[in-house]
Amino acid sequence: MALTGQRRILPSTSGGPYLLIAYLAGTATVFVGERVIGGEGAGRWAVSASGGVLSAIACALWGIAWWRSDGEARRTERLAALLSGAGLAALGLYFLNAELVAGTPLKGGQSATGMGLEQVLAALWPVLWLCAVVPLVFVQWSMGSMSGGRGIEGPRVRASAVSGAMTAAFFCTLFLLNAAVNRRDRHVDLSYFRTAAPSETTRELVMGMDADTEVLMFFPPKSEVLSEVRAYFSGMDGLSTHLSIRAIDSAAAPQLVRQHRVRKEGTVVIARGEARQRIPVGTELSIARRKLSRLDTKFQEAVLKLTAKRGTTYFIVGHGERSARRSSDDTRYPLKALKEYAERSNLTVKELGATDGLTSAVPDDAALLVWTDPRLPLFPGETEAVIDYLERGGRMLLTLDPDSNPELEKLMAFLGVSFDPVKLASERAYLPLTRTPADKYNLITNGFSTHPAVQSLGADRKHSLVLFPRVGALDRRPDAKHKVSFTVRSTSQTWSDKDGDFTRDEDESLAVHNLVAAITGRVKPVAATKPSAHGQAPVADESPDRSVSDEMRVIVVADTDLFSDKFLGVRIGMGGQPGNLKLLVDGMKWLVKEGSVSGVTQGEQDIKIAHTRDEDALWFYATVFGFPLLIILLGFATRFGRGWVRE
Amino acid sequence: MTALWLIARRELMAILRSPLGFVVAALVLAADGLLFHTRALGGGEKYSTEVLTQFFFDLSGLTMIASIPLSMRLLAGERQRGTLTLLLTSPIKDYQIILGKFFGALAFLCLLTLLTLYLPALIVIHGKISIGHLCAGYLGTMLLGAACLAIGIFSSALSKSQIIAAFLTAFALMAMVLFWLVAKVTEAPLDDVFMYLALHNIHFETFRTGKIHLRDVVYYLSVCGFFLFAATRVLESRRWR
Repeated sequence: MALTGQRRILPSTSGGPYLLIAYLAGTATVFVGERVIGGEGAGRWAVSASGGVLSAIACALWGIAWWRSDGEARRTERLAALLSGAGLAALGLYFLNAELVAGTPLKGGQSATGMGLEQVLAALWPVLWLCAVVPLVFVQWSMGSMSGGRGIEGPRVRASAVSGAMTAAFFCTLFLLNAAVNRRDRHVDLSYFRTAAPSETTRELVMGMDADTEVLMFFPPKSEVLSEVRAYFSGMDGLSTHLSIRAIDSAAAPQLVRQHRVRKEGTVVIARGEARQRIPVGTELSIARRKLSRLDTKFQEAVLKLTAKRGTTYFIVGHGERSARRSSDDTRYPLKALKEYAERSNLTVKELGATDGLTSAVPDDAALLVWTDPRLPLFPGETEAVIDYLERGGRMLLTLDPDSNPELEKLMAFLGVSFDPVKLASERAYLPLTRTPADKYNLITNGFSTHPAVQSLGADRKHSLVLFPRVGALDRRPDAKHKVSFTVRSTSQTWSDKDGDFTRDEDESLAVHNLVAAITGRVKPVAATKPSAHGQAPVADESPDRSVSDEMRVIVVADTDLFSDKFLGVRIGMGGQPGNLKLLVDGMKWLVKEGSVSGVTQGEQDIKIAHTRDEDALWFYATVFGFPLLIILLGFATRFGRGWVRE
Repeated sequence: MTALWLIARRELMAILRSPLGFVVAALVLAADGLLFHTRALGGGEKYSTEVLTQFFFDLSGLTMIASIPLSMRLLAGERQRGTLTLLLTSPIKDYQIILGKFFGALAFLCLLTLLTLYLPALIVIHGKISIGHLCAGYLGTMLLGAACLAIGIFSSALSKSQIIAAFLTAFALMAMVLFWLVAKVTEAPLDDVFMYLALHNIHFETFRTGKIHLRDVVYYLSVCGFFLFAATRVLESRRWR
């Protein structure tokens, strides 16, 4: 080292690199002591202290060089000494902030922005250290290039220091910017099957909560799935004082895991009193995405199971009704989705026929009767039982079909509607499903009334269309005793195709036809109790917990295909949700107690791509070889083409 | 600014007219096609979202690789040909040289990336994906490519030979990609820092699944900004070294 030489010898021009190495080695030793060894033992103290001392010695030697030199060299050594001193001060700030010296972390009071002294020091010391050490390295790099007797060129050294300081400052600015953005991150999900948002029905469910309900999200704290689930539930913030939402780290709260019987992480538990519903989501985002897209449906189902009183939906059978499964002797489109929807709406689904006692009475727990596309009339006694049930405030969904048309005179007379089984056709408002003249029977309409049975359809008439494949027409009977409202009507370009030739003849005039009727009637007052036909205790009509309600409600639809599996989810035009599904949901909401059936949610699912090289050989060769070859040829043409042009 | 765009245009035309440009483009497109059919679509039936996500994963890897030959020549090539001195002594600022070359190479890389659009078109035909998901994936790929190019320009500024520049870039990219592994063996708070600095693992994952996080956009722009700034400092260091 040149420190022992004459005053005019440039001490750190030759020894500077060694001092820098010693300085950096000292800092690295401090890092090893603090981060690698750590803990509260003497080892950490010893290593950290020795590193600090080594850096301090290097700093002191720069100081001595500053004191012993003069001229341009003196200014340069002073710069190196000050920069190394600033680096040491940064280490001092680190120790000031560390528990090792302070005993307890500096708490220093949190400001309004959540920044306390501890946080300020934690951010300040690395910035100061970087802004000192990087210019120091640049200065030594610059001085190293001036060795060999050329002397120190002050401006060049100072330019290197400025360059180093700017680099460090720029890095720190970017680092702090990233830290701030990371803390207040915002994102937009553009994927097709994104995490669901709380639907209007879900929000209504939450707002109607009358007992404390807790949503517990059992996820690892850093799980990306948790942030998705949290984003979904944040959409319910402030909707109800009865709903509380919190994330639970399973590792930190094993008692809660046992209490709520959570078998694996990535589960959402909805708890109300002792009752619980669990929604498994998973912790891997790639796997959980499909479940996240259906989270709203699952949450609705879970809440309904916890909150709603379970009623029973009886599907009347035994008269050639359309079933949930297609059979060899019944080629009509099945109604599996309709049945599943009833189950999903927290209703127990059962079948009810003559052997189940329908000839005497409808069971007392019936919340809804569903009779779909019967081919045969009701047996003797059944009609009376159904009418009796309705008169006591029963609810019923009756879907007819022009292809079946059984004898239902007595029931229809009671309801006050008539059914014309002649198929309706339209020249304009139809959906070309088969590209044949028969498509004229596939009527589409947005003629909805303002009746509650078509509430959401009526509210979004512009974007909602309902498809009626092969539909008849309904009309009010002159002697109707109940209030009959036609909730869905065809367009004015519709006619009854009496001769079935798909073309409008002179006697087939254009008109608006009624397609769906909503019928309401007062409950018939009955003073005496009547015995149940199902061996249960007699039930008084005025009993508050009976399933039947204070108002008779019936929906009659002049078509059954629109609720079949084939057409229930069909999308027409720009509607966000299928109109047929909306019609069902609105109708069920009106028939059964509103809020106790699930609403329209994201029901669409991703589809699998079965794509093999054999099937698309042409596409495979075109993409793997054809297109790249084209690029090569284009390149050659460009390159040699220019040559030809020059020639 | 005119000088900057002049350099960018000149650089883009130089790549388009050189064999390097179309050979790299053809190789990347061939590899993209092959990976798309074998990895993204291969292995039986897959959901369309999975296919698209895998496609963007493969595309990002190839974009990173493509950025190496594209960036290695930017400054090291000039130095090897002896034209760098001419450029440095011209009345153009250092940052204009760096930015001009960066934007020229980036324009080519974006062009190359967008040329692969015919591959996800296949998913659009057979499956259900949103245009937004496509846009997010391509935005992420371009941001990643821009970050890799910036690292490449920095390496190119440090090196005298194109080969060394390519090796340096490859090493730097590999190191930055593997930061997520370093994060696994370090303790808090360094694990968070390393995980955040990892070039691909967290930041690209969101783009390929159709999400755009402000955090990730800022990260890639910061990487670009830092390495371009550093490359400018390296050029400028001739004044004090």
